[in-house]
Amino acid sequence: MEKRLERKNSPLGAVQTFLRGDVSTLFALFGMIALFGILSPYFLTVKNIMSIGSYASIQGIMAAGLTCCMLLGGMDVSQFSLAGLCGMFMGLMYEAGMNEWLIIPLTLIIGILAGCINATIVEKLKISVMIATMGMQFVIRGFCYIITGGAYVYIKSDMFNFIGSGKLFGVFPFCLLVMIIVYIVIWYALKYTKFGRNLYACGGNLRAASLAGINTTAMRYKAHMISSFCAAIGGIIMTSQQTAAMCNAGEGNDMDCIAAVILGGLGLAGGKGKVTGTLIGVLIICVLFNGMTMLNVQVYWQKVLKGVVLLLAVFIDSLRSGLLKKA
Amino acid sequence: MNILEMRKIYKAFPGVVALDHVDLELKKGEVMALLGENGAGKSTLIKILSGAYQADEGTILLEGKEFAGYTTQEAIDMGISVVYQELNNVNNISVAENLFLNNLPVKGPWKKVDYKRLYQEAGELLEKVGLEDVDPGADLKKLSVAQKQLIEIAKAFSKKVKILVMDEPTSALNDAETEKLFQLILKMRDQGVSIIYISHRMNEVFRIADTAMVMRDGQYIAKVRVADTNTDQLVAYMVGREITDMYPARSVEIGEEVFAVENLSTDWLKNISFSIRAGEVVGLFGLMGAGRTEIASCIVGSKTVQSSRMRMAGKPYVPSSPGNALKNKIAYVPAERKEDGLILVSSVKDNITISNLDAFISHGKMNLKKEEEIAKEWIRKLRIKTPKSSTVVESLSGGNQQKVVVAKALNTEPELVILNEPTRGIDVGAKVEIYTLINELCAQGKAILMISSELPEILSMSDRIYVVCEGRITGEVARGEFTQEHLVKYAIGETD
Repeated sequence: MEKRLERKNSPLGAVQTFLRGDVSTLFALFGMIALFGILSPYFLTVKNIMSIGSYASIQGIMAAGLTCCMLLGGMDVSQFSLAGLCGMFMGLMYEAGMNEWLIIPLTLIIGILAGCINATIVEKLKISVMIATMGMQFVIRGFCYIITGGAYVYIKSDMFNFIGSGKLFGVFPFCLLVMIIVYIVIWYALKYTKFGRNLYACGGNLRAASLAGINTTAMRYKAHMISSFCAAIGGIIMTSQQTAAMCNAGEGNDMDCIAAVILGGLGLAGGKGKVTGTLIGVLIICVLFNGMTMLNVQVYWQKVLKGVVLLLAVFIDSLRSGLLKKA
Repeated sequence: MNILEMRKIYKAFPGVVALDHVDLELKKGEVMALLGENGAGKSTLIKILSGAYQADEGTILLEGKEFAGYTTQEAIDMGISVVYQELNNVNNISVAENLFLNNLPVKGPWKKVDYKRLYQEAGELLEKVGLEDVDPGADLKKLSVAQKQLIEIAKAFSKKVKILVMDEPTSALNDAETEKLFQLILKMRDQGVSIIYISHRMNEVFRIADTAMVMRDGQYIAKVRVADTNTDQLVAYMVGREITDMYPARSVEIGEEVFAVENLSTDWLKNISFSIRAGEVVGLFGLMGAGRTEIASCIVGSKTVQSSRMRMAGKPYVPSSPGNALKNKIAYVPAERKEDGLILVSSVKDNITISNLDAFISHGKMNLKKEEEIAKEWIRKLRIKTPKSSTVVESLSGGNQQKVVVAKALNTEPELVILNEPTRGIDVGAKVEIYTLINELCAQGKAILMISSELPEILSMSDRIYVVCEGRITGEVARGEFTQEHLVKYAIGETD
């Protein structure tokens, strides 16, 4: 048995320990908020904070779903395409005069079905999850354009308007409340339910999980269904905010959630991490881009920054897991 | 003169002192066994020698010259070769290319690989390690585990080796192959190569080693001449106490039949039939690849069965998935604990409870406090050495990891426990504890199917032994009738 003594940390070890917890990401978040607060007088206004919140809600909800997928050791890069498609269906159903209260559950069901397709491709056709969802990303996006021939569908509905831009008590965005609920549900599920525990087990070691009696195929289906369900919610909010179903909605944002999740402490390999970390990751990214806009940084540079953030997130992940340490 | 001296080597990892000022001396042409329980620090010491780790303190003298901060490649150039327990082969390229992985012979201005020379030189090396019938151009994946092990040793030969370190080289070899390896070691010794030999098998130590160095808890304990010592003394050094009875005796009334399988067949298995009664340990013996693990996989439903009839507790049982096997009170402890048995990144607690979460779930919510109690209970019962129940299982020593796998299986309250190589790669102390546990399970009336490659273990622990060879059961031996010769004869397919 190895002897346990007090920690003898190397500098790299100390960095690793620091990066592992939520403390480091929270630190980065508050640091950034302070920085932007100093640089821009508008940044720390209630109005701007709430606007960050309603902007973060779409990405946040989707990242929460993605967290389940990635905990399993999976991946889902089809989320934003699916959000776009769900928006298109929503628009078409609205145009056809369908009851608004019916449109929402139907849209969510479309999302869940797409998740089933993703899982089926991975489980039955044995295609690696990255390629499977990347393929689906293009297929789904293609359909967004096909179903209306590229045209937008405008929506003028008080209810949808409220979902996207409504404020509770005049200040608090409704979509932010939706996001908070999603996070509470997923946090609870991961911590207190069999589903959550099995998810961690599958992500940690799929073979061992299967031999421990877990139905790993079912877990894959559940994870993708949650991921796509969250994408559908994101799609509904996105469409409501734009007051139109746009076939290119969310195009080019496909890696945003992944960056947030990795930044939040989930490894690419799965099996460890928390959904609270994801939330912090999302906030970091949203604050960063809001701050950039506040400081009038050119949009093109923001694109560059987006790539850098993704690379940085993965780099931090390898720092955390000690890949950079020699052997 | 000593070819190698390691002085006062100190190495700490976050939270753990792995080596506490350890000394090592090795003479030219000496075969030294390096002994110690899992977690004693042997592997860390070897990794420092091979350049994979750097020592925090201490000096390394090679032929009298001091070296520090060298890389694995530099170590190889200095003549230090290590054959690791986990094989470092590239499976989908040829044997010859594996042998010369980073110094392929080339010709011409474009540095084309000179295959003719490669195969010729590879052939010579293969001959040296007794693999003359292996085609150097064949893909490595076609070779058996034993052959791959010998390939690793041939690799060491391809460089000018002065010090060869072998980490449990025989764990996957059968007796004939082991003997071949020993001949090779002795030949190398006579050529002046110094060898450090890590093994848990005492008979091997006495067979080939000149000296034995023992480590415990990251410390140097003793170095003795093998001729002047005996197993009891070495074991006492290793565990820090005397182990009087390796295989504790068991007196259990054997009861009714718990499990039976009839005519189990797959692509490989042919008509496997046997039964196990309550309180009975049935051993499955055979060579690697004979089909023992496949039998277990079929019973727990992780492998598809072509035809079979199984009975569990008197009722028909149809295997479909490991989950279903657990529902039918069949628990499995797989042989490869890191690949199949553990979720290494998860905590000890999570690993123990994962197969039976329902035990503390009410209305869909897990009672984490109750889970903690269950986990602590197992940690106490199996004496799992872990700082906390929330410690990541990866940081435990091999023996304690194995206990976690066993705890996970037992936590499902099984009636039939299938143990596949339950003591592979774990130290003597932990082994005895596992054996004691097996006896306790028998006393509780559980049925046990034990797969093992270790002859002394299976001979001492089983009530009955079935021998598997090439997918068939070639012999059934009852307690009192079995001898080592019997089993080996059946295992290589000789029936009388």
